[in-house]
Amino acid sequence: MTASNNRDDVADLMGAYEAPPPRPDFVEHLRAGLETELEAALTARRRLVRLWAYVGVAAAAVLAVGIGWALLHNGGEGAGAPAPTGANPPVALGTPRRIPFSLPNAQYACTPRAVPKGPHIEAYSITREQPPVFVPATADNLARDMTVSSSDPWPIIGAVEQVTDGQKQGWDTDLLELAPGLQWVQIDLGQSAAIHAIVVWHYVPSLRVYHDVIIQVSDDAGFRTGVTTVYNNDYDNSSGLGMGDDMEYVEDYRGRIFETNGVRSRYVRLWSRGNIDNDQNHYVEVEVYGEPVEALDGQPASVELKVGLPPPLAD
Amino acid sequence: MTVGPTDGRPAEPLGTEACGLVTDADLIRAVQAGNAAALAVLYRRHLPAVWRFAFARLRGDTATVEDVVSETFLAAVRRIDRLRPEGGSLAGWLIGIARHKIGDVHRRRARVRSGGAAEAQTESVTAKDAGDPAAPLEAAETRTRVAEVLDALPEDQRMALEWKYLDKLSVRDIAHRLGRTEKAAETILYRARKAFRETYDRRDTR
Repeated sequence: MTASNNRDDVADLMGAYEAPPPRPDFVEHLRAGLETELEAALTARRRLVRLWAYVGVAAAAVLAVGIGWALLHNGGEGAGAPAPTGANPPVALGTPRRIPFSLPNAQYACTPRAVPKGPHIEAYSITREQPPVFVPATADNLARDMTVSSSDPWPIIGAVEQVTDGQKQGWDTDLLELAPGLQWVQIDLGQSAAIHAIVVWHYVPSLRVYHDVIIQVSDDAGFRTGVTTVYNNDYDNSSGLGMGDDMEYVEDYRGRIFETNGVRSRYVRLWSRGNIDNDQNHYVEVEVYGEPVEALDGQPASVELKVGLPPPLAD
Repeated sequence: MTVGPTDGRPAEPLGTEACGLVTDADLIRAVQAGNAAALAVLYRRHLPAVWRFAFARLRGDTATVEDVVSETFLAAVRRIDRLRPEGGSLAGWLIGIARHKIGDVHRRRARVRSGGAAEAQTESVTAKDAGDPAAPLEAAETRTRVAEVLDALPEDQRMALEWKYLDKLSVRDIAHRLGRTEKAAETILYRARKAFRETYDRRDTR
């Protein structure tokens, strides 16, 4: 059948696309299931709001006690400032500070699996810390709440905004799932920045190796010019972006810190091509530690990027 | 229970078929606020398109179509709080989820390597003309080709055609669903028909 220039032919062809209607009991069953799902989602959200309210009250109480203590011990002068001691000299403005960098909780959501191994995979141990990464004291997470785009316009699960929303507990609501195969997410830092470290959580609930992890930076949003590759573990160039010298790695809830040595760019693009469990690509959170280029004045001192300790492991 | 449009139009009851005047953005806001009636309207509104989409690509394997459609709507409800009401086509988003769910099905089947039987059995059952042995095949081929043509169209054109010719909606209702004026909806329909014919004929002559 061909579609000639009248409306009836379009109507006829569209008629061929019609499907037999779904069973009424299926329709009703699914409708009821959706209502239950919505109620569950709203309940979880209400619990989260209550939890944050409790946290806020507790934080306010701790702050009030701290201010009171400072007033008592400093005679009302310099309230709120740390009390100087011999071991810890007074802190002045501009002095290096620790970067606030937290970890999600460890999860044991799945059947424990053997640690993935292979000739291209780094040896993994839950007890081994990642090597320390040092960043300037003034560096901060520039990616937080910045614009994110992706190669998959309709993610299977989640929304691209979640990549920089600060939520990284690895709950279902924190996860972005992109289509199978080679995919990327891209973060616009808003302005060119000296990037010192990028921290990536692909997946939190279990150990995983993601294939062809490639991290690039550029000042060109389309990544056509001025592209610098800061990490590439595509050892066989199966993704066609060039062969990488870096090793594949087993990722757990601690994510992965990539040192980038102050490379200057506005955009960060992170590639992957499935993982050892399935062909999809996932992101829980990405943090980019750096300083806006225009804010740089002189060579800032370096401090270690501190990672908070996770809760003790359960057997 | 009512859902309040945000453009000054009066709120309307979420009755059985009165929901044509409520935009998707209105519905998303209401669902995000916990309105179960709005969820039911949203579901009723978009179920046909998602069902047809899955049915055409799974060749009438009804059991799998039900699985895919269920997973699609459940995933959508779980993510509804993250959805921006004005952030794009809700129908397109749902179809996108369904597309990926279907991709998962195909991948699973490829791994099992036992497919074929399930796909072949169902299309023959759904064929209208049981007397003509070639009819099921032709119907399946036409459906597949129309599905490919629809996939090639912009999302608003695709939905306008489905709503017009399969769901039998008026231009006014289509305009409301698209969040556009009636004139704009007519233009979209005109362009959709034109693009549909051209794309279909181009594929037909290959």
